[in-house]
Amino acid sequence: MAGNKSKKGQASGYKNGNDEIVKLEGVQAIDQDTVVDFELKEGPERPYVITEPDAKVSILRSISSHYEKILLIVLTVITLYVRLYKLSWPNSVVFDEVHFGGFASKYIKGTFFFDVHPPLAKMLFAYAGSLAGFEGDFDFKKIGDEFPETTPYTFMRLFSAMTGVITVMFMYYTLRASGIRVWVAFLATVCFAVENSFVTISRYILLDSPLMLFIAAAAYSFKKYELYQSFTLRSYKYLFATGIALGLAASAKWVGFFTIAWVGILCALRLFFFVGDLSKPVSTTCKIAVNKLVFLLGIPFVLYSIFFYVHFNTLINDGEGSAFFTSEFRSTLIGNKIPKKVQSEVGIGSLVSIRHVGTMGGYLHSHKHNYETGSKQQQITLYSHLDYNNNWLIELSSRPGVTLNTFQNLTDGTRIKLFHAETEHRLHSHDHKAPVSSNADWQKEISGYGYPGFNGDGNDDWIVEIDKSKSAPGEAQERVLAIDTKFRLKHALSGCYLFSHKTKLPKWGFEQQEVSCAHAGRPHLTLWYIEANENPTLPWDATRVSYTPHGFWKKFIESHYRMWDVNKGLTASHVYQSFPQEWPFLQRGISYWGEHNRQVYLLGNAILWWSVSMSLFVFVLVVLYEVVAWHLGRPVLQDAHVVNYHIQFIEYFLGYAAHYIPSFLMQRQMFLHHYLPAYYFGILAFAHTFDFIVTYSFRNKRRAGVATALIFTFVCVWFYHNYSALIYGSEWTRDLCKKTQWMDTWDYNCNNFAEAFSDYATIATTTTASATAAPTSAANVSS
Amino acid sequence: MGSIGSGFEVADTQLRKRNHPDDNSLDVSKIDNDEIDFKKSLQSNKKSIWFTLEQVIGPLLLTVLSFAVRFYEIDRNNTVVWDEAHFGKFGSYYINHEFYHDVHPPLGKMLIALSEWIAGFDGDFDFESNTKYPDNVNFKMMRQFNASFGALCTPVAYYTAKWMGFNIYTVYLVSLMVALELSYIVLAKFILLDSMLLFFTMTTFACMAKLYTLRKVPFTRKWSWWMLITGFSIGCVCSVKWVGLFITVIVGLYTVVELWTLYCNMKLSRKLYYKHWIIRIINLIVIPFMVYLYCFKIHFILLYKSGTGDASTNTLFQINLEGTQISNSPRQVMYGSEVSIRSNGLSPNLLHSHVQKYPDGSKQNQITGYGYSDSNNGWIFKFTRESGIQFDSNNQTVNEDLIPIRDGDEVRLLHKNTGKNLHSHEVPSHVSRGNWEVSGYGSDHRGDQKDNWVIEIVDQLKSSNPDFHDEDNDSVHPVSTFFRLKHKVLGCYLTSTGFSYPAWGFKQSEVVCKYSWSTRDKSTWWNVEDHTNDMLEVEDDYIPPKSKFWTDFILINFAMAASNNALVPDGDKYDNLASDAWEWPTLHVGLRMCNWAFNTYRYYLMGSPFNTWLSSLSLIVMLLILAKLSYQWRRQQINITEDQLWSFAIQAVFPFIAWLTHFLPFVIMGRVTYVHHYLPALYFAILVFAFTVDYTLNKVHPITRHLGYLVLFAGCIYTYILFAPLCQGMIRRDISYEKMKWLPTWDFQI
Repeated sequence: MAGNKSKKGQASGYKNGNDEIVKLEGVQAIDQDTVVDFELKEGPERPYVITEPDAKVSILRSISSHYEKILLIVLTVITLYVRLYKLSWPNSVVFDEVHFGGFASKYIKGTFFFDVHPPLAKMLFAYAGSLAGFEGDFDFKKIGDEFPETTPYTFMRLFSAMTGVITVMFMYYTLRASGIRVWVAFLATVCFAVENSFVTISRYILLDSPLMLFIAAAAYSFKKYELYQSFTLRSYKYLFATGIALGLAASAKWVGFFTIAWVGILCALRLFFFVGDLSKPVSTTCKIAVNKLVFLLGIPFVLYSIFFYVHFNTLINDGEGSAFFTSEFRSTLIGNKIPKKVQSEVGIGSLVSIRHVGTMGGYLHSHKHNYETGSKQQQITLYSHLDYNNNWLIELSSRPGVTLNTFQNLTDGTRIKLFHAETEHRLHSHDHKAPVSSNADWQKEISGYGYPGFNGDGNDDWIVEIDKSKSAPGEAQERVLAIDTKFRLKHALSGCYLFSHKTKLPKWGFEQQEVSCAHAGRPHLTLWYIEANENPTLPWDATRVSYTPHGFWKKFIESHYRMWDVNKGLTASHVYQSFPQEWPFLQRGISYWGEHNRQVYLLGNAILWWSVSMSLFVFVLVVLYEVVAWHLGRPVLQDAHVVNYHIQFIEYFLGYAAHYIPSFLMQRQMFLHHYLPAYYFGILAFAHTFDFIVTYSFRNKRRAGVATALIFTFVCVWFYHNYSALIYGSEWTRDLCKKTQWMDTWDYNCNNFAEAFSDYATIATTTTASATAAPTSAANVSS
Repeated sequence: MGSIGSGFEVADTQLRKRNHPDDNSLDVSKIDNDEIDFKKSLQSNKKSIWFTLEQVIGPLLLTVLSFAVRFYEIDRNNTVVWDEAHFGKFGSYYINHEFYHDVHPPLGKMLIALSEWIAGFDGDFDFESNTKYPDNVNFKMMRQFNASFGALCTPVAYYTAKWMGFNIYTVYLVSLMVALELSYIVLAKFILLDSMLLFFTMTTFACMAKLYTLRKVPFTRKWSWWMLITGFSIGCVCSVKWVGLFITVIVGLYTVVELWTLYCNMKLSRKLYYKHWIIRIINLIVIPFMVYLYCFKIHFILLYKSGTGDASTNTLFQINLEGTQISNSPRQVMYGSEVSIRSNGLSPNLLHSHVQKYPDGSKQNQITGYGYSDSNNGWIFKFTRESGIQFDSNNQTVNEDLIPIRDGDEVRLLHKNTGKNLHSHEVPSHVSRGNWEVSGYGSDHRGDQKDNWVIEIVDQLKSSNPDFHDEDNDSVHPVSTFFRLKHKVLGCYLTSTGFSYPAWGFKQSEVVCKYSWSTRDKSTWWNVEDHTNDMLEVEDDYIPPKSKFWTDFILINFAMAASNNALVPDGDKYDNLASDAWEWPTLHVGLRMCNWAFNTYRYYLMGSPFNTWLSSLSLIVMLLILAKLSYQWRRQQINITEDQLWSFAIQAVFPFIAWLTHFLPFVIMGRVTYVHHYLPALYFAILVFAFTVDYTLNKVHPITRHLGYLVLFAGCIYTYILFAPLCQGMIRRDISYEKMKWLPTWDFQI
């Protein structure tokens, strides 16, 4: 190693891109090698790698020759055909179109809704819909609902399909940028273009297709960025593009944050090599690092916020989804029923509604129904909607049922009774077990107790305790003011606190939230405040107070809390859910739609799918072997092609891991389509293995290499063709279908298909005929 | 960017250089020298008398100090403090020989029992929380016994620091920090497991550090001894609490690194290499396991009477305890007999049912597994409706004959209290996946074929009384017959899965119908426990078969795991004693250990601010030092030899990882956590602190260095003096307590 001052990596066994760039034509042009040797320099202790890329690389890996352009056109045509074929069928709602189609109609009408995903992809579908004249008059209620004439669902699906087509193009460019020669990249991309699962998701109004486009764009731009020398205009251009793509991806689904993490890991890896490159001054490395931080974190954050801003400014009307939010949030919506300008001073004789702070459960509520457990007295619940049964009259504990002529404030320590005017019961607690949390010995039942003319007993007494640290500064800490003062209600005789938590009563309690009296409740769950407030003894010009409506950032933050909570809470099991450990084996798909003796079933292209899983697995073994061998003193192959293969594979492999491993940590219900982003990176990595085999392993038997590549591509297309009935929901026969069920767990029901193709002539396709196994949609976000 | 290839290649040439050490192994004295001090520091290089003296007197003085602060008025508070209520009581079970069940392995509690025995305790006090110790209970001696473990941590820390290669000042600093750590002192003062756990954790790490100093002289007598001691120490720490597994992981990691280095050493013959493996397997895996096993053996031998823990064990174990709750019964189970049926799986519960229904699925009566005796465990064997056989009017006989239950019989099991049949159908089970629900359905007269079960006898055990050797092998006998219940229609087997139902099922264990993979699958094995049939005579001279130690050992460990998993906090409940993991390294809160009355001695569990804050800070500093060194190495400004790398690993990396393994699990896991869970992690943070001090002060001018150490020693002692009332007991109000309140969240004031 020592001796010469600068040295190129070992010459490889066959022609590579080192020669002077000459414009090649014909077959040579599509077989041009694009891998260039790396440069080593001798340092004081050991040699090191020069990290700035060779200027030649970017030229070699850009599209220039006519032959390549022709191939690109062929690729586009194939993809367009595969992805746009019969888009208008099925003519009814498929799988999660229920949600995302529905959201589109809400955007168009401007009705507020709540969803666990960020807004961008949903807004794009809404925009596509509105361009085609959709007026939001169809609400995508359930799977299999037929679309009316007025719904431009084909156009909305076209948008999805086009993002899918562009994703395919991006894969080609990405592979070229990471050093795969033209014809191999072409064949690998054809395999991707006919990948059944990607074709399926890109045909319907689902978030996954735009998400995949943005992820693919990010991968492409970052790969491209790596090809240019630092601080050149081109390098800035691609860094900027990466930032934009990452921002779009994160704004489509939170999965995009894993893509950001992937880019972050790659940057950290490169930083490690930059530091080791003695020819690169530290100041340059720092500058690059700062650039990356600004472009790759700053731009996504700005974009993400902008889309939320647009989201909030589009959904201006109050809707069902607003029940998830605080009153401060809801008071920004048009048509909200949040009380405004309520009297500020709260006193004896005030008619109030009392709202819980710690949960979104709503108001202290009672109604003319009794508990079926414990004392069997009248139910006290937490109810999230505005209702006259939320009204409570504050009485002085010593003088219940007496109307005062003068106004008396509630202060810390005031002893009161709470009278439910509608049912003439008082808020009461006693030594009975809480209705649902009956195992928690620290909770007691709260009930409504009393009858007309009865003035209550000692168990109706409550002591007001103001929490100064949680109340607005000033007077609100001294006496109870509506909205501003947060307080607790302590049961005078037993010392427990009025409490509620996210536990629902059974059907007999209308699934409203349980209220109990807690001896050891978490502090924020025993906190309450007054919302509606009316006292006849106060003058008409008494001080009034309203909620301070949330500004953008507060709304932004609150939305994220809700999205996080709800996402975490999506743990209910689903018929077609699957588990992360099953995905690499393609154990199970998802039934998307089944009507008119046809089916749409999400299933991967098993040939490509299993090849990807296999290549990832084998690669790990090979690298482990290489590390051990190196430790034992075996030299490591330094051929530029081997090195490039390792680097690219590892980088894509990291992308795979960054999108796959987090699924294991998530408790929520999971579906096969959650694997697709990881799978995309898996395909990129596999393409390099593919390239390595057909061009490097077979470097002395070129024909065999080409033949292998063609055969593999052909088998992928064959699989696509054989299973295409499940993608397009087209006609099929039972026998053909049964032949394709390679695994028992591929659970599409073949008996749903007709016996013979000729039978389809008699099956109507416009009105709902024989309903088959009904699929249900994935994201169970109820309003 | 061909970095990977070249990087490997470059390091490779270096490695080859490394693999040619000039000489090694034989010159032991020389190695002893650099083993004691890898850094070029101080007097320790010269083997003077002063040096030898220091090695004895230094730790001795520190130990005396350590004993002094821990023994000081140890009986000030003469009531049952904190978890003494648990552990003192567990000790008394050993004195009384009553079987009990607990989440921790037995060693620590047996040591407590030993201290109670030494103190002459007669087992006649049940350690009710906050009650005053009676005069005849020598609780002072019990506490002193436990405090000794705490006090002996100091010399262990001293030698550990020395073997890790720190300079002499750092060694004393570490020892002093351990000796004066408030939380260590206060927990050492009471009858608890924490001091023992800490002590054995520290000895295990000390052993590892010693093995590190001896790594160049393998197979010597000294090395072999220390290997053995390491294994023994691992065994002890794991037998006190399962938390001991964390330090075991560290020793495991060290061993892996060492074996990897040896593997890459091509000069080492493969035969010798495998010898390295075998010695480590024996010493670091087999020995600890034997220690663990023997602890349980002694545990079982000591606890031979029936007690509170019976319900967590199977029938054979219970029936062999003195004073067992299971009474002798007629030996032949007949149609019409009333029985209780216990599972032989990993959750050995009795088949149970009650009036409550499943909230979904079939919404029929729940069938669960329940350990304790209860009238709802009663089942009656009935003929299937299809058999057409009818009982006589007494519901016991057919044509005045009793008919025994035999292998292959189809039976129906009727729940005595609810009158429902044991039933299964194609409704998915509620907790586990892929099994069928089992429910209580219909009545004696109403039902279908799915109420029928086939008896399959799988094992018959023999009594040691020869009179019972000729019992019929084809029929069911209580206690000694194991059988499976196969569902007639579905072909699945009645199984206790080991999962628990949620609150609606009262956290009782799940019972399902499962397609069994093997006849040996014990979760499908059942046996009759109680048997009553008033037409038959009770056979009192029956001697039940003995239970097997291995079965009992495995069962008790699973039962411990199950109880551990059940310690899930109620997310809505406010527990003012529990704290979150982030509050420990930041010293956000402490814990009131006893009744906070004005006139009693009050103990407050909290780390020393000096130790905790500085050690937490040093964790970050250590990472910065690591970053700086790797930067310098990447820029080729420094060259790191293999010995330097090892030294850095043992001084900084291993303590840091040890801190992580002792801290992160508490961040992740869902169970209730308390301040004292940070104790072992704090020790490793202190070691990381020692590294950062040693590293930085070695680089500066001697005057600054001495000044630096002086400030640290002074700070450590001053902090102890200031905060001593927390661990030595506070009574009434005092001006000195005011000065201690540095943070508003420290709630030790009255």
